[in-house]
Amino acid sequence: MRKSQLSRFCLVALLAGCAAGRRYQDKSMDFAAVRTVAVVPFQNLSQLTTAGERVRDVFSNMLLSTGALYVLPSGEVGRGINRAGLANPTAPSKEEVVNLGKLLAADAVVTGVLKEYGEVRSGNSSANAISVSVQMIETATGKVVWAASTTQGGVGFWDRLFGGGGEPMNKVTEDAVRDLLKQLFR
Amino acid sequence: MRSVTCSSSSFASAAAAVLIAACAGPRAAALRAPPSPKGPLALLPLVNLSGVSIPVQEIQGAVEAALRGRGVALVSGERIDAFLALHRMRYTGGIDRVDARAAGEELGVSGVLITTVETYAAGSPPRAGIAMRLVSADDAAQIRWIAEAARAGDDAPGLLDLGIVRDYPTLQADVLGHISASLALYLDGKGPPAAACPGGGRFGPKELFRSPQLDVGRTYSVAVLPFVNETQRRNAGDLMALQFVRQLEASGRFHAVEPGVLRDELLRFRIVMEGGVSLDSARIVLDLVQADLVLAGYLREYDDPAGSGAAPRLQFTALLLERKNNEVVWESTSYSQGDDGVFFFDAGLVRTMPGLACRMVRSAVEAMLEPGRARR
Repeated sequence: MRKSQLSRFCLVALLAGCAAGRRYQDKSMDFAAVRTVAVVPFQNLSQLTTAGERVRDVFSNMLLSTGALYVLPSGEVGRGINRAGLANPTAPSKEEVVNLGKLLAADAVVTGVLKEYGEVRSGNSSANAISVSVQMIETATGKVVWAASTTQGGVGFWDRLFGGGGEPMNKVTEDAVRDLLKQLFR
Repeated sequence: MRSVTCSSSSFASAAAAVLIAACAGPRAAALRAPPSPKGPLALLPLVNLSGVSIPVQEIQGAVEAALRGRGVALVSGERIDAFLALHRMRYTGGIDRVDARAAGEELGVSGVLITTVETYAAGSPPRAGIAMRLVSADDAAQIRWIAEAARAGDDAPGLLDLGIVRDYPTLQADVLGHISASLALYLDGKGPPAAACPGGGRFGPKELFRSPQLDVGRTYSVAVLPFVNETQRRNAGDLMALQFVRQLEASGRFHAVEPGVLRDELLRFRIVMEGGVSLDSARIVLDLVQADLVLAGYLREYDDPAGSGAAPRLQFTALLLERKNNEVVWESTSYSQGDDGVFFFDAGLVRTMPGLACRMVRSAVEAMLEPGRARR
């Protein structure tokens, strides 16, 4: 491998490592047609049992606050899940999404996976971090039309140097959701 | 064609009226409070929502003494016990319409006083938090007056800690003095039916949605459901609902349905909202209590480290559902702790959970009324 190729490869690898999130958006999808969204409970892979609901709550509220979409109340979504008889509401199948969409009169269903939520340690330093990915599934077809992930917080340079524990968890969560919404409306 | 003449004095008075109306803002058009009830009031046994065991009889006695000391005519003790037994009333944290009317007819009272102990810590430094409301003793069972006071012994330590209150009875007397004074002023027609708690600016909502459908120019009746309690603290969902009831009343723009009326309807129609309010249940609730809006919420954190010197922490999400379109018209997420914005010498530190909750809820309710705060 030539020297220039190697350096280019290293640069790409470095940039890929620095990126906080990934995004997929269906090019053929008309997002303007999505008016009402149901956010189902997030799959929680973190240590804290209530973390999934907390992140879902912040996501729903911030999405509603944009004014671009109407987000159904979580109690209403819960009722729909019960009526649809979803075995695993955090990861509904294509048919289940279509059914749920009909029951709730929702144009899309948002699912999410919370991979990290809480304090992470690196050497002697610790800080709050979150890693979450979400998918938007169109209820008419059951197709994934948008997917994004983000990781926020964690031990940074200043935390390593001076300590301090990083940002509060709520702030980190808001940053993560803000990043996801930026990816959605880009 | 009729000509319209306008003298300079009438023009000036009209202009002044317009100016005053404009300066007064939307709250000037708020619901006019009904006159203060005349006649004695029934004092129901207090309800303990503090999450710990409390000396109920002692506190009840202190409440009664404080009210009588302010000249409030009360019906209490054995007559109230007999009434409760006759009507099989076991829950005294609220009153439904049937019992409210019965109290008026059988006890000859104009209103019923409902007392709630919100926080209690007899250790050093002590903490005391009590809420009280007056419900009309008639078919309407409307909230006429509501107040709350919460203090910690170390709220104002002062120079060399000379201001610290170390014994619970002194602190409780301060709390009850505040509440009874507020009630006496209201009954004399000199005080407001509900007072907003001081300074909520630091504790504003972090995320906020407000629909343009929420009309700032009109008055709404609101049914406040108990919050879904996702914390370990017992009764915290009911306490949050009570805070919203008080601040909604204090806003002058919303009128809260008496929680006892709402509770009775929910029990009677077996409405259980385990995972939160659905549109169907909201619609039923709104029809049952004839309200315009239903307020529901989720309590995520209610951390009240009494005695440890740490500040309380609270996190909740609240939403308003409207009857007409069955849509969320307002939603807010708040999280704060008592030492938010405190930098020097603990100035401005809020040490009690009711004090923090009150300020946060006040900010959230104010956000309902401000169209400019639709987005953060």
